[in-house]
Amino acid sequence: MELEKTDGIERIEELRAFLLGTLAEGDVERIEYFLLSDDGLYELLLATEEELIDEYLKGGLSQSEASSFLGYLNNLPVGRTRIDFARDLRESFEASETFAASWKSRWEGAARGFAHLLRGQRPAWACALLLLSLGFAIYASMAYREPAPLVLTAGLTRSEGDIPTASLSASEPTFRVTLELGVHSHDGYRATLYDADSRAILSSERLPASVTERRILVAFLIPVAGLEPGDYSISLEGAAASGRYERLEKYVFRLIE
Amino acid sequence: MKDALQPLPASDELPPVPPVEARNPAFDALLSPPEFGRLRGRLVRIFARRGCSIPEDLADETISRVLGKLPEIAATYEGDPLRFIHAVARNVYREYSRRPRTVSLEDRDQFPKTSRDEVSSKEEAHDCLESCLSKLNEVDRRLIREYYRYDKLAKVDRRKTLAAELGMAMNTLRIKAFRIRHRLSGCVLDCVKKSGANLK
Repeated sequence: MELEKTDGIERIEELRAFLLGTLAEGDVERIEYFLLSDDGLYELLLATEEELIDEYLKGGLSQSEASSFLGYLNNLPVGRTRIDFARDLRESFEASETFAASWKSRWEGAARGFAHLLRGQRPAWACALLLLSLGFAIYASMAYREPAPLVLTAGLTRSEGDIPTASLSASEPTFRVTLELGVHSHDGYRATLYDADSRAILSSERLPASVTERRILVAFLIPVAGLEPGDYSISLEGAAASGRYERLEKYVFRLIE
Repeated sequence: MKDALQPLPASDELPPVPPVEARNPAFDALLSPPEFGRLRGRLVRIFARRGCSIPEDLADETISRVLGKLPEIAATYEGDPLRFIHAVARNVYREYSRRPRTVSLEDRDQFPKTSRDEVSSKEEAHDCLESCLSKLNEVDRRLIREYYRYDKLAKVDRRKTLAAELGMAMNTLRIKAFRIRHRLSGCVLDCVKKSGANLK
């Protein structure tokens, strides 16, 4: 792969123009030939396609550019899948950046307050604030890295104190419950959430099981909206070959504020 | 969405991988796996960029015609076989562009709306993405996050800095990021298929 041979901003500009349909016919033919003969340039074209998809999603293309580029993608066999993937990737990265940015601003605020106290010759207050901030940051970062996945095991609840508990968080739109299975017996599973009065609240079908060396786990994502603190249960069923579901396990847990 | 086209002659009869009957080693190399697959993929893009709504059929038609011509030219043809293939592709395109067709303006200017309203399907895709991201090694994960960051900072400057940090030329970084993204996309598609989610 001759990557270095194809380096240069003018190449990228040419490929962008090719993909956006703004290149003159003579140049189009030249680029087409290079795409057939130059592996490096072809891969660069694929990379440029991805970047243009991102620009389109951000609204960075003009109307005519977007129309031309979408027409091209639309003609490709997996064009739509690539847009969906790019959108998911963007949402995922945005979510992590929003988190990082919010902590950055909090740190900056704390640093400003600390500097202000130092300027005001109040070192004791400054030290106290610094220690408090550090403690809070450590606590918060631990909480973030471990978003308390609730792992439930069937049939092990003996008393009130044994009921697994999860906290409802206003900042998290969903929480994940991981259901432990004894045997991986089905290709897909259905999990149904019930409230304390055995009313079904929501259900997810076609859930896969993750099989590790020691455990068989089914992840069930539950939207927080509308849920109240209280006791809940989850019924897990396996999809039989006939298409019907077979009851497997029942899990209980408690939600608190 | 696809054009109302008259059928292409004999395109349905093409075998998935053509038999290699060429007696010219340069053509042989191009028309045998895995080069054949690469060539076909590039032709598909060329036709798609020219606005053809059936680029795969036209790529197959091009290869079919090249194979049909080989007995005549293989023994005497000198020069780059890709020039020949490109010329055949241009002819296929010209014939295609002369055919009557009907394209709805609405279809032409809009990407089809996705019907991914189902929360569970989207969540599954999201879960798959997070799972696949976690499978990347730390260096790759950092690279793809930095390269495709969506903040308001000057993207070009940030990428230049990243390239300098990694000791790479810009386009080398661009392709490296693309390869990671491509791998990630493949992983997500596999995961979604396995979990029965439907991205469409």
